[in-house]
Amino acid sequence: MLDEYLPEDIVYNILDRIPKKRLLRFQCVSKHSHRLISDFINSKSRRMILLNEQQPFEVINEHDNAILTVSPPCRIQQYYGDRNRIIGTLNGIVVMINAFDGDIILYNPFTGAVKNIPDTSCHDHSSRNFYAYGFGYGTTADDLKIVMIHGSSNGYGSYSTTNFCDVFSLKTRSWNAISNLNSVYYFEGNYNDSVFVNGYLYWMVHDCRRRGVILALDLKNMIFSEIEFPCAQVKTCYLGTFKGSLCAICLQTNNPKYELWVIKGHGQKKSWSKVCSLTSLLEEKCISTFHRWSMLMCILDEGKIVMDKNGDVIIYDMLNDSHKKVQTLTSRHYGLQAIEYVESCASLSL
Amino acid sequence: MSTSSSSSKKIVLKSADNETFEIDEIVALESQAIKNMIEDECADNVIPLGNIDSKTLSKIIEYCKKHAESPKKDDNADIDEKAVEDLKSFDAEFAKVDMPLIQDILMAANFLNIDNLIGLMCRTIADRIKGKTPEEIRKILNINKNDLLSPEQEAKAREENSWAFD
Repeated sequence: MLDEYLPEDIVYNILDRIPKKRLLRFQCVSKHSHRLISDFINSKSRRMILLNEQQPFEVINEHDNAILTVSPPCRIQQYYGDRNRIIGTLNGIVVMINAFDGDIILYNPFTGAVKNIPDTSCHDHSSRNFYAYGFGYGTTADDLKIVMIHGSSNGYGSYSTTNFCDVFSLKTRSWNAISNLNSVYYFEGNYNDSVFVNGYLYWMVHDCRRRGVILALDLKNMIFSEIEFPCAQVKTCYLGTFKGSLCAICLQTNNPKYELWVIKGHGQKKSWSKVCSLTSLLEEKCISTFHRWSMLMCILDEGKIVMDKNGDVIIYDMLNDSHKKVQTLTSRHYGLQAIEYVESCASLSL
Repeated sequence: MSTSSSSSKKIVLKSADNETFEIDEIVALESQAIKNMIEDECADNVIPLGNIDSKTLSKIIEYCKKHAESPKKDDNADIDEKAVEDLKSFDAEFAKVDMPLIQDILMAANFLNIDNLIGLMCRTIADRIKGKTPEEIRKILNINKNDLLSPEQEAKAREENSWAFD
């Protein structure tokens, strides 16, 4: 079956009938099977949602209602009720911050592989320092980069005088400082993690005049820039992707409805356009503005939001203005993070 | 349907080793490829199948005969439960052959475009290797030594997929 002379569609027909977990262990049968099975699994690219549960992690697939539990390897087990923080995903690799020691961890939920990024433990993760992260690539997808922006802060309302930005290249396995982050930004709360689209990382920040703005980092040229919010008087804004473009879910002070905006075009010609109003979102008290960050877990690229509604995980379809409850194994969801990733065999030894 | 009149029409298939098989057209029509040839009127009296040997071809004809005789699902809404069961046990028996022959049948079924048979062979292979260890699969599939991963590569693959070995 793994012979090279069988046509690909036939081989895929066979592999389709074997549980994926079994397939993974066939990878070491031969060089050919290793390549074949990686290609096969990557070609399926199912989009899964990882719920950062205390233990074990839960993985759900919205469309076939499957729940999988994934026991995280001991290196990313969680301590003292602190959840690890998910900072981004690409090619099936999820980057997390260990809640206990601040180590940066690469994790492939599909293969179960896990790897630590070196030399992050030297950073001081005490409460006076804040850290914002990003995960993306510039020119080519094999040159993955982890961006860490840090500075000191005494909590909300106080700003550090300097931000530092360090970039880890997974290709060269080394850290580099980038020095052109000239302005000082305040990264709000714990959920200030970035969105990666098309070579750029984006964060929701406040500038030194406490004005909300989107900070962009061009990963190819390592240059920071700012992008204005889609509308004026933004009270709440949450960033994500919608059909491969940067999107923002915004609530304005003078408008009682959340709106989905998407950015079109590149570089200087970027412009926002409104996709739809999320009419039932506030009525349903799905997102309370008070707890906004803890309620909205993540934006799914196909135009849906994963969120917590009174302890239930629900998926709200922004385009149809409807929602449904998702089966999960646990019910304590306060502060739960979620991320949408693509199943892949991506290796962590890049 | 004019099965009675077409059943008398014969088609001759010729294998790679020059053996000829005379079969009813209705049996040959199980193959989408032959069906297309007949519809396009480019089939002569004898259809040469230069890449299928007689052993494989006789197995395929056995399969097509049985399936051509059985009532099709889309012919009749209330199909005979017994006929379905009968066909199932035929398929199960049919698949009880060794791995090289399964691969030959699969290749031939693919060439002749016989959907059900492709599905049956793929399922058979999947079922046979599903529960096996990598070592057992190497034996079943007769993996060439040159194609083995290096010990380091294999250790890495096993480590990265450690949960699959639980």
